[in-house]
Parts: sequence; structure tokens; C-alpha cells
Amino acid sequence: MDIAVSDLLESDRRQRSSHSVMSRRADGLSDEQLMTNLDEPQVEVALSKLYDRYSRTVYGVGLNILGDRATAEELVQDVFLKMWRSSRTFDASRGSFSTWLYRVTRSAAIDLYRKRAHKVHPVPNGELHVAAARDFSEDPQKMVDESWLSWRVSRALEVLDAPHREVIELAYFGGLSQREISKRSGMPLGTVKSRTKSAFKRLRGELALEDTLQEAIR
Amino acid sequence: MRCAEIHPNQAAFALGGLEPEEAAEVRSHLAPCLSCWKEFEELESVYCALQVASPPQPLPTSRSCLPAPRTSPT
Repeated sequence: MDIAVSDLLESDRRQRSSHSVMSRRADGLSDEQLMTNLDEPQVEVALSKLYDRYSRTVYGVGLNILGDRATAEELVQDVFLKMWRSSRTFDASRGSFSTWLYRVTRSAAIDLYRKRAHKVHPVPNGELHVAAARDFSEDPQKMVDESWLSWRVSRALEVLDAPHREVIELAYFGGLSQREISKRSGMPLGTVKSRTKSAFKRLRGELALEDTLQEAIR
Repeated sequence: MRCAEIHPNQAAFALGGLEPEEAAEVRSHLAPCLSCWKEFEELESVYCALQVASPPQPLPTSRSCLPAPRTSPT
């Protein structure tokens, strides 16, 4: 496996164990409950928890749409500022917080995408070029569809427990075979295989649940 | 190979994470076995969904969008 990916997975595992997973379990507050706290004195705590839960997803979707890390970081800043300032427009009876935040993210990403599309700059061979954002100009619906699916998959991965998420990250994003995961983790090969299948089924369940929720909202 | 022996390998097969000989066994079982094929299709749909996901990301480093203590939106 590529060293950088391996390091990233390890760093991500440490961060998750020390931040988001523990905070979710320790405080027990739903996203929607935290949103109601944004008008109250504990706003910093509520925002910080929502940031821990969602900033990776916003960043990942931003990276897909916008194509570079700096602009994806800018998107994260924009989205969480908008979330804070627009928190009163969130109505839990109309849909989940995740769906609402996805819409905020998509709108902010489109704004940044348009700004970037107008930024042209010279490159060494003398031609003008629009920097690395993907070109959705001929099929904007594709951007909407892909970003929504990317959001849902990211959220489904976030709510997997650590052992199941780890096998998916190593197998899919790290490109390791089941045997390599077994060697690396010390887990018996049969456990790796059953855990991979179980993780897939859980992901499928989460994605199907989102479909059902979306149907309910429409 | 029986269905029970194929089941644990289905997700790994969808991921392309099996050794070549194991993958060949799963492939030859799936073609004629409708129930295993249906389950494999469900698992493969997860693999397809993963293709639009971003690799795991560390938490973005800057938290400057978060409020300093005791401030409120304007």
C-alpha cells in the first residue's frame, strides 16, 4: 500500500478515536438536538461537536466537486459559518440535519465552483487555464447526483463502528487484499472476510435507510 | 463449492480483494447460482457507491469558522 495512504488511515483512526466517535457516544445528543443549542450559551460546544461529526464529509464532498484541498478547506469554513448563521432555517420536521447540511454544502460548493471557474491564470506554457475543478458545465445534474451519493456514502462510513470502517478503508481506499489486511492487522483471514461482508451489509442498510428518508421528505 | 463456502467471500470478491484462485472459485459458482448472484449484486451496489466517496480525510486543520467563546452571530 502507498505509504501516504497508510499514514493517512492511521492518522484518521487516531483522530476518530480521540474526537468524533467518543464525543458522539459520550454526549448522546443527536445532530438535531445540537442544532437547537446553537442559539444558547453552549453554542461553541454544539458547533464543535457538529464540526467533528461532519467536517470530513463536507471536506470530502468538496474535494470531489472542487478538485483541490485548499478550496475544499475553504468550503468547510464557508459551510460551518453558514450553518451557524442560518441555523434558524433548519426545521427538523422537514428532514434530517444531514440532508439540510448537504444542501448548505452543495450551495456553498456551487458558489465556490463558479468563483473558481472565473479564475484563470497563466501556466508555464503560456496558455490560460481554469484550475483543477471538475467540469460539470455540460451536465450540472451529474454534479448534484454524484455529490449527494458521495455525501450519503461518507455519512454511512462515519456511522460504521471502527472495526468495520477500518476493513473498508484498508480494502477499498488502501487497496489491500483480504490476506494483506489479515497480515497487517493480525486478524484471522476468516474474520477479515466476514467483517468485510458485514460492513458491506451495514453500509447497504445505511444507504437504503437514507433512500427511505428521502422518499419520506419528498 | 457450496453456497455456504461462497458467502463469506462475496464482499471481498466485489472488492477484488481475493487471491486469484479464490476469485475463480467464486466466479464459477456465481454464474449458475441465482441466490448467491442476487446477494452478490446487492454487495456490488455498495462497491459502486464507494466509487464516488472520497478517501478518508483527517479533520480539516483550521477551525477558524467556529466561534470564539462567548460570541454570537451578527
